[in-house]
Amino acid sequence: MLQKKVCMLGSFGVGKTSMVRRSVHSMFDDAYLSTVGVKIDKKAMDSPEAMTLMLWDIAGRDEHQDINPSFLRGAHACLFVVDGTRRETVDVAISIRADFDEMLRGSACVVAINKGDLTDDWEIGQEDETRLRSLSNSILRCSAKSGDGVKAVFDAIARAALA
Amino acid sequence: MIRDLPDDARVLLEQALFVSHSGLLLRVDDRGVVHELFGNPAHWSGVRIGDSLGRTLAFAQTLLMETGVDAWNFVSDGDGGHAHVWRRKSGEHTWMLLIDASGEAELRRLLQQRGNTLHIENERLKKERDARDDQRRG
Repeated sequence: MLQKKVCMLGSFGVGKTSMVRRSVHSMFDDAYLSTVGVKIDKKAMDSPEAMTLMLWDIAGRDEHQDINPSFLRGAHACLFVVDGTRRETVDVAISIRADFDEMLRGSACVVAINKGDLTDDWEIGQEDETRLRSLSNSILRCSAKSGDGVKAVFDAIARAALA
Repeated sequence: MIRDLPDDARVLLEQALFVSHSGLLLRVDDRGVVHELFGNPAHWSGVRIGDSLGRTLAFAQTLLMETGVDAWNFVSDGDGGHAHVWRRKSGEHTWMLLIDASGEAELRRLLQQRGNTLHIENERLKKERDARDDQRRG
């Protein structure tokens, strides 16, 4: 079976782990549980072809800790997750891509703007989405809470991993 | 590999692996089948000689296939437990050393989560303050 390594990257609290839980286990929990190190999970995909995505859910960048570069090596694709209700998470995603540019140069990227269920608190505008295009032309909105758009995000990352 | 160590060093390593109940040293082939193990397998999903890592320690199987890196800190397969993992290729086999890091990870998570929650709360308060200031001016 074809296997592709996908790294999930972004600021803390954007919902990377919730997206994996929604996609792999069809579950969501409102409680915030910060990720330490990396959680490795598998997701079987049947399109665009049969493969297993090895999802490396990497602890988010915060003021006190950076991303461990050894987790990124050999990634076929990166899923950058930002929080639609926190504009600063766009800056964090862009800075991660810049800081690990050399290591991620061969990896295709997709951007997911999570928390689409909180439209009243939405902060990300057209200008931010334009900035996110420096990471990828594939930018999708989703909500790990409702499940809306999550399948499309993982379909897109599967296509990107194959490219 | 462990048998080639000087006796004193081997005893120390075996004691560290057994006494702490938290370490596991595995010799696996390229397919992830376990050929030799030292330590406390009961602490690690009951992995046995002849088992495939893919069935018992899926994250270790994933790390076995990684290239360019031989050490990883705080790796979890999602069930809550964490491990520090080292890997060393030796002929046709690979040695993997797993040390339970769950306690350390939980402590780190609590501190990290407290910090992150405070950070988000501060952001929210700042936005509310800015909005009030805008209202006052406007």
